[in-house]
Amino acid sequence: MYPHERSLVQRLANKPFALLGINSDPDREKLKETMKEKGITWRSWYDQNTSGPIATQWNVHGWPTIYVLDAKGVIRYKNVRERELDEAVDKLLAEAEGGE
Amino acid sequence: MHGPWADRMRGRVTRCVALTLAVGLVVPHARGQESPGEELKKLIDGFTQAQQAFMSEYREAKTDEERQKLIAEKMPKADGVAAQIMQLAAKTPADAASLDGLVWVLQNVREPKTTAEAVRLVLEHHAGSDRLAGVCRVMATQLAPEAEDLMRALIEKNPHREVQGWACYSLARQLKQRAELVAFVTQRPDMKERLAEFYGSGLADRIAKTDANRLNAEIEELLGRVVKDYADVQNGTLAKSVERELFEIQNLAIGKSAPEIDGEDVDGVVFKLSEYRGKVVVLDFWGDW
Repeated sequence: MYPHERSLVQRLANKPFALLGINSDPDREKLKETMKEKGITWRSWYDQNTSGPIATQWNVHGWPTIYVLDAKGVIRYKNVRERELDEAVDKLLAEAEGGE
Repeated sequence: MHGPWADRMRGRVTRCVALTLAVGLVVPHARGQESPGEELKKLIDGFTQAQQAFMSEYREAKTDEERQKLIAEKMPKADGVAAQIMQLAAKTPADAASLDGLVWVLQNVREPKTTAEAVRLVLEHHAGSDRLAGVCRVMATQLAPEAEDLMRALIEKNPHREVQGWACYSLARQLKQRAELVAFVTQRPDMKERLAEFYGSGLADRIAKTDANRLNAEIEELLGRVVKDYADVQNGTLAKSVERELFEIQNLAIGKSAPEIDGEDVDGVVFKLSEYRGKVVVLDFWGDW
């Protein structure tokens, strides 16, 4: 996942776009090291572990789980990956930039 | 990196050989003298120990390379043990020990033929057992048609409320995964064949015949039934799991406004999802494991 996410973030650096993580690694310090090592520059909520409060509320049972939200905060896609994720994001960006 | 690791591995192999010899000397019983139940227990315990040993080695591994190698070479495979367990269980399928073996297979193996055979034996000999709630819970993530059949049969035939309740919950979760696959092939008809290859033709058939609206209605009906009839099961543990499912249906479906997320980032700084309104957002639930 990381290389694709990195390129998504780089490609859309000047667009109204954000990749936000919800991380469930139990060891926070080790996670910080991993993020530095693997060039994970995007922001994540730290959810403590796989039973953390955010993953529980969002009923996440498998990792990674992906939600794509439009500029109004509406859930538009779930669990799209790779090329489909790119297409979904591009479509929503075009919608947002096309105005109301 | 490679040298010390290889040394450690050699040390471990030597210790394993020594241990095998010692056990061989201390325990003189030949395999044939054990009852199928004892043999079953040994197989399951042996696998559990091997898995614990693997996990502790995995945690000690320092690099991705080491981890990959460990997975390839040393991760205990449930399938081999499952074949032995199934053979033993088939000899005396009605025994309590055989039920233990079948439960283990259903919880640890995802090979369709093995699952189908284990389901058949459970339904034939143990459909009324009070020890199936755990199986139901674990099988919530299974997509095999046999898993669905087992839940439906237990809801109907098993007299224990705990089993019935968990079977309702798991059937709802299984159907939810099927609904997701139905939505996926509707968007990507070109993936139909891949799906059959990946999940087997049985599931692909059921997906093709599925009416998405009816499926969603059945999922909500099952979850509603748990809330109404099984809220007290295991002191409300089941009800909590169902609440999560209902929350997802009601608040996390496509077209719904995403609920607020408010919490600390990795460095301890609090931030909110709503701060990103006006931007297209990809939410990625992830972990580096």
